[in-house]
Amino acid sequence: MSRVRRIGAVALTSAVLCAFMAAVPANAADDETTITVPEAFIASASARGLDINLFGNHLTIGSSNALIDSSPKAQAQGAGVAIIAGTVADALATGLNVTDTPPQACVANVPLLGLLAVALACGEASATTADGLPQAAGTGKIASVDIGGSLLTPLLDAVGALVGQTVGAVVDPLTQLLGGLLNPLLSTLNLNLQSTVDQLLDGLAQVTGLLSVRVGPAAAQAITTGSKVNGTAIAQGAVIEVLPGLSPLGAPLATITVGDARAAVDVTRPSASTDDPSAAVATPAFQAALVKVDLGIPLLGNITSIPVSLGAPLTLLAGTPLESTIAVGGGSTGDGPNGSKFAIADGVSLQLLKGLNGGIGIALAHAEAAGGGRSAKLSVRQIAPPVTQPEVLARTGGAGTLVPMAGVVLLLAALGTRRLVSSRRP
Amino acid sequence: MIELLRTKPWARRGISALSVVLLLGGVALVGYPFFTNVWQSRIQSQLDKQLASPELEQAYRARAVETGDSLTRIRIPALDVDAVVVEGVTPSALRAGAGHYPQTPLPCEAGNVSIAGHRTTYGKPFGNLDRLKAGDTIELTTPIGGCVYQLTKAPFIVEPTDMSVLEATGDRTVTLTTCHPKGSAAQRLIVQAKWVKDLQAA
Repeated sequence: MSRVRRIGAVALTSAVLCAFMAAVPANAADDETTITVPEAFIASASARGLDINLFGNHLTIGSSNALIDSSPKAQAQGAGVAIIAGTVADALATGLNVTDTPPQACVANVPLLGLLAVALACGEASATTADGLPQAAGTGKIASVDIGGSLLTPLLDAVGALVGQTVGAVVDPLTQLLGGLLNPLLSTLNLNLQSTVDQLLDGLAQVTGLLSVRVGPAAAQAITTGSKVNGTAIAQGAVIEVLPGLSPLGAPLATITVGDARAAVDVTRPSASTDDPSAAVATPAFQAALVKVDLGIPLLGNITSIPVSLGAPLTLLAGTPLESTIAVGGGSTGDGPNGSKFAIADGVSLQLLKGLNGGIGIALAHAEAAGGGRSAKLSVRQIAPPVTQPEVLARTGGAGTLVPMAGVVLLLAALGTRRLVSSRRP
Repeated sequence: MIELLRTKPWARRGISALSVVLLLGGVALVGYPFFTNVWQSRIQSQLDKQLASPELEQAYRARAVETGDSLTRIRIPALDVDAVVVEGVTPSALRAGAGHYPQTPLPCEAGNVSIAGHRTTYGKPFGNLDRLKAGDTIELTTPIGGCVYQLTKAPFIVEPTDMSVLEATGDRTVTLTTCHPKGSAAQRLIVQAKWVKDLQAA
């Protein structure tokens, strides 16, 4: 029987403690209510056309950003070349019915670091909050980028020991290098290695540039309609020619074609009557760029066009000064803070001509977008009533000692009553 | 009477039940300060996240932080105090540990910024305020910046009705209030410090 009582007492103690703990938050919520608040949303998008890393020098060519929120605010930037102010356009609109559309910012024939030349670089941006529906758009555009000039000399130095000798004398070591790559194909493909190497070396002596890049616009926009908010980033495709002047073939060593990459997030705008916080749903999506490589020299026999798959990087001319690797990044979607979502298209990365002082790193077609929202009717803490001057300084104590002392008294009383009952027992 | 209680089964059962009720009540009351600390810790972790949110920054810039929402972080290195201060000094708001008197300027602004804090319960952020001395510093960090104040005099005691400690000042000051003595609300302990420098925004 006493065991039953003990179990009962423990259970009751737990129940009382739980009730006590539960009572605290209940009291804490005594000034909460359901009220209608302004709807809140935010969307952003960002696209980068081309990132180049030349011997530690990093350049972003063709970039754009767009951001809107419900304050209302719209902000956008478009940049041809981020570090050239004349190619950057910024637009900002805050408050209701404000529009900012600066003129397009363009610079022709931009030399950069003495290593590359941009034919024409432009940035565009616009932002508006007309009718309380913020819209922002930015675009970064470049006509073409040529990388070469002074880089040719170290490239030729890298293969100088080979080029400076007769073709016949250099065929053997190159055949060994290329053969390592191609041996598995030799038996099945109609491949003349000596002829291929001859073509390569002849062509190298006459090239005028290392890379020629034609890249599409990088566009970012964030828009609001009556029913949804959207952020979209698109990095349009690019065509990269490696050793574009490789005569007498009349074709580059390789032509890399990169498709569009895009990322978007849609946020539905719940009607003003709903009080369901989950009604503001964000939906992310991405499309990774597709990549194809066309070879100007029949390095792989009859195979001249190679698709590059996600997760399977392609390496060309392994072991030679011209070794190049191409990787497709794929993309992802995920959850951000406060119920927001994001989408990223990772783009394409290329490490070209690794034998040339570490090579040239290029990242292409990166796009990302994010967005989130909140219903217009929520259970929130009620806005405080007008402040009235308190008559006394805030009470921040008083029970801290007395309450535990009262508890001790109760415990002693409990002990006394228990002794009263138990003293009757023989 | 006592013998009656001892001999009658119904009386014994009644006394037994009473002893259980007293026991439970005693445990609950003895544990009251502990429970308030646990609850304050839960609130602080939520306020910590809120303080870093863009929504709060927007509300702060609009001077529209609601009662009970995060307002600023207070650090008192000499006492190892690091807590989020909410807007308002209502009993509900002060369950967070410390609250900002809404009729006083926002932290780091010109005037007399005033903050009340618990001394023995709800995390007791101002539990050892009496140990501060001239030269000690108080750091306030808001969503848009921060600043450092320095005590120019030792803490002092006033009556609860002495509202003069909250009155506006010509320069940038901060006033901290808490109950005194510990466990009692009979008086108030006051700490006042003057602005010495601003901090960079986080």
